[in-house]
Amino acid sequence: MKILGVIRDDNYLEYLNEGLAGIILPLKDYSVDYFKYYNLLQIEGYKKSTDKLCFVVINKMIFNNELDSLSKVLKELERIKVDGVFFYDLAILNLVRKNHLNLNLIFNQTHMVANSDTINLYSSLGVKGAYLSNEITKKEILKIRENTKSDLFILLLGRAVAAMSRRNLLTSYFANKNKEKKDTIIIKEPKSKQEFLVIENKFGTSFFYNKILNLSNVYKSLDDSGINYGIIEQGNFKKCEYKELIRAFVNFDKEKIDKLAGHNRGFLYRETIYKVK
Amino acid sequence: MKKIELLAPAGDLERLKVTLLYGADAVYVGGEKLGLRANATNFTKDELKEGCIFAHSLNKRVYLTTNIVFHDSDRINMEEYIKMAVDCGVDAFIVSDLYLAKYIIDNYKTVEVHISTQDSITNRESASFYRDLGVKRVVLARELSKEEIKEISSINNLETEVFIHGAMCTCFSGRCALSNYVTNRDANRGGCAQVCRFAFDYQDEDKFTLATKDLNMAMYIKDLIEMGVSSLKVEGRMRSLYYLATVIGSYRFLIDSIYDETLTDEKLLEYERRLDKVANRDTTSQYFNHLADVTDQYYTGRQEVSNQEYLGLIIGYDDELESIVLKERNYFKVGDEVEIFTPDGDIYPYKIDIIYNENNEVIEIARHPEEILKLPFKEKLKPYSMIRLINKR
Repeated sequence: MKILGVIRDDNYLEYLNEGLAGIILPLKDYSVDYFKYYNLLQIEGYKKSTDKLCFVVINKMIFNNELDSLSKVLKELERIKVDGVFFYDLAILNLVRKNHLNLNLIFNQTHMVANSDTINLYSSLGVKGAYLSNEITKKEILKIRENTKSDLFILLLGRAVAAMSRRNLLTSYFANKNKEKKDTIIIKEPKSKQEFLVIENKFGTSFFYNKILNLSNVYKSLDDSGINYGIIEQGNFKKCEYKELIRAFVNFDKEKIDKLAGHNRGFLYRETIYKVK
Repeated sequence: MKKIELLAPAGDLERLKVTLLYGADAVYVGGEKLGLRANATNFTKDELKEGCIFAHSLNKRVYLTTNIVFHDSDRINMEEYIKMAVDCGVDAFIVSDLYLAKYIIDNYKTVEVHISTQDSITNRESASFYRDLGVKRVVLARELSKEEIKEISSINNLETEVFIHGAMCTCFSGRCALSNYVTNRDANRGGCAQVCRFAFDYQDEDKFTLATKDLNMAMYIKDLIEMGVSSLKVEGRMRSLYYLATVIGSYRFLIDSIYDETLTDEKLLEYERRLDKVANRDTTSQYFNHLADVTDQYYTGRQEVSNQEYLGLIIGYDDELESIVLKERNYFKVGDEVEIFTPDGDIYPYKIDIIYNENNEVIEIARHPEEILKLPFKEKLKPYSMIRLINKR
């Protein structure tokens, strides 16, 4: 499994030497649910500075008035020769197909990448890979690997996105309370005690589950199964901690990973229910 | 030009009949599998068949929701389920998953595929993608402005469906798994626990809420017709018969009056008031005129208020007493002023002078929901006529 990083620091290049196969760069003005975004110049700069992998994220909902600029951006990404584009909105797939762009696409619909047939269908439409949902079980992940030929990406370590709204929920909340606005808060659901990190930007409001997801306990079996890429996000980790984590995944050291990132295994062994008896 | 469709929710066979009788052109229903309301009273095969026969007898249509986000295990017997629904006579499937959409398009030429709002279609390119796949209609994201809806609705050979009334999700549909994380109930497979209506702890004694007000587009139906939208959708498969009858009846009146150019400002206001009265939350037009803002949200833990104006469902006629027979829903008494309304849109103002119980004894007060009662009335009324409170004595 190749390890990809999502880096919050400005000096992102220095992490490559720790063993990352490449990094994922959320495109400024076209992506959401990340802590740092990069413009095309920075992406091109990265691409020129290393031969490591360069994936770009375009995962915001696209509106009509953004389509022309999106079309240009996709052409630029083709020119820059990025290794892949993670996409949410099908406008991207349509534009890439319509304009015959030579871009590898990765199906990245957050909670909706959850079965083999759909991944295979996207593959038949020319989509090269799929970034699996964080809300599926280990058994389901392995089954998808068995049933598909697409490149599969999985979040090994990071804050899972729980929801995204077009609403400026923090602006509204603080305006109603007549209090100074904050762009980031932590809220807790009182019964379940589950916490969420809430972040607002110009595109709306993102909710992250506030425990770091850490799949170190299944890393080996995912690797053995043939999952192609594991993603580890820097999040709030300090520079030295994140470097340690990268090394710990590359040279697999579960104890070290767990010590730094905790034991939240997400939905690996927790099948969600939908029919309440 | 084809008249715009009024599309109603139907949580069960009775609701299907009521909404169609009250003027819906089509209904959407959930079956025993693959729908996003796993805990609603969904349609069995026999009910689905009966519902389709009933709808088709009125020259109306039935759409089946199959819009969950699939996991591999949900695929089991999917083909048989789709075939069963086609055999029952459904006119369209509302689908979220691309594989299922393609499967139906490739295998069944007689039914339509409509892409669910779960896919949050927000632009003309993604809408065109679905059209080119063979999809007949897309249900647009609820986050769109007037101009955005208009532009997508101008795409050739693709119908658009727009929500006009009912509850809203706080987040983009399909882009929310809060329910999974808080309750372990899968938001995208029919188990949504509506966590966006919970109150969260935030600092000391503050509560953070993210719930939205409901949607009410009565004032903009004319705009939506002129913009080329094909279908107007009402939310609420689990709502009461009374709510559905009132909402569907009101929108039927508004649509018809717009087409025959008889809608006056007074009538529009009257129907807006009627819709407001039946709502159990405040309503706004959400994103239609501007990005949803501070005025479109709730900031308290509890948002619903109960509605007690629905007094009874008319279930028959007593020839001897020359009285309508009704099943009581809420308390009323002699002296109350009410309205009797019918699926045909007729409204009869009525003052309650006499109430008979099931044994034809005169009573003063109706205080037991589900009790069979009779009220003197000269005309026999259509099944599913109802009584609502206007003024208490």
